Amino acid sequence: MSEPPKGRVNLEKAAVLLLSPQAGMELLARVFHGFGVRQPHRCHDAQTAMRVCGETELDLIVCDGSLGNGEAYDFIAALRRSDLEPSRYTPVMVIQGHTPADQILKARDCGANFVVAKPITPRLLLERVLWVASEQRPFIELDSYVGPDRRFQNLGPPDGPGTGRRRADRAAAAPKPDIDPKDSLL
Amino acid sequence: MTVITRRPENRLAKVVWLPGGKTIAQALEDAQANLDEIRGESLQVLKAMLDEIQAVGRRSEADPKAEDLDTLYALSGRVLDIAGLFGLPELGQAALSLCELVDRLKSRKAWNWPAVQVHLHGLLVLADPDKIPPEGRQNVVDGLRQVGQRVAR
Repeated sequence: MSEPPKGRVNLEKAAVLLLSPQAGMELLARVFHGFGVRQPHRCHDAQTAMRVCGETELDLIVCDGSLGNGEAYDFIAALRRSDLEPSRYTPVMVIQGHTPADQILKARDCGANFVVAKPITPRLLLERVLWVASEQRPFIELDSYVGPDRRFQNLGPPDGPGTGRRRADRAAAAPKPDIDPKDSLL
Repeated sequence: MTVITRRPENRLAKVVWLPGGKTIAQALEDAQANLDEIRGESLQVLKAMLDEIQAVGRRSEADPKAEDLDTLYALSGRVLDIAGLFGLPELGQAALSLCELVDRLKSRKAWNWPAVQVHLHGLLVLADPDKIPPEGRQNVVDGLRQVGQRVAR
């Protein structure tokens, strides 16, 4: 069993929008309430979510990718290309189950900060929230893509003095134990 | 091609590390406690969905109808939503494997009853996780994934 996680998290003042089908909303809201989020904005469709984005300065948006016909991905792409500031820059996490073949490109290019694969657990979700809070990626606007810069790799912290992240450095490094990222909280 | 690069503040970072709040361990405990309040009814819903998956699956054995495949896909997705939150991650992974299989079969306009059947059996086994040790449960999931990959070829 893994060590109990250390550190604190304060989501009491966080304005969080949850976009999910009715069926999964209660579970998601209960998890985020447990994390300390007082009253998340609960939206079941993209239109309502977009209206909330226009009215509220949000700190985090969590979308369930299973919303019908890729609606969550369309919402994120539309938000990123909208003039709703600061909401268009708000970190967006997508919780994704199976993505049908005809939606894979849409999901890849929608402009989300992070995708969390189902089956989810509270631990996995909180870990990803903290990860999103820690990232400093620039926001890129192209004809074909608007959202956080996708040119990044999650390599974890450097190995220590004398080691680098260049390919040659990594190749020279001794093999490391294979640690499942799910077992570590930031 | 014009590329515009901006560096907006990470609003989440501004609040999440503020003094106060709760320990991460407490946050996780509270989240699980909130879920446990509806554990009984959620597991009943899960069981009803698993029963329906079995019924729809068996009904589809010889002559799968498009709406049955849609139902099978949707129900598997709902099992995937719930299972991990109530300590049944392997059941969720098996449901994901069934989602992938059904989607693949639909897109190819094909049918493979043995592959679906083995998934139905897998879901039955994993719905009662106390009956098999963790490594056995993972073996079941790995086996289902292999079946799915074989169908994909």
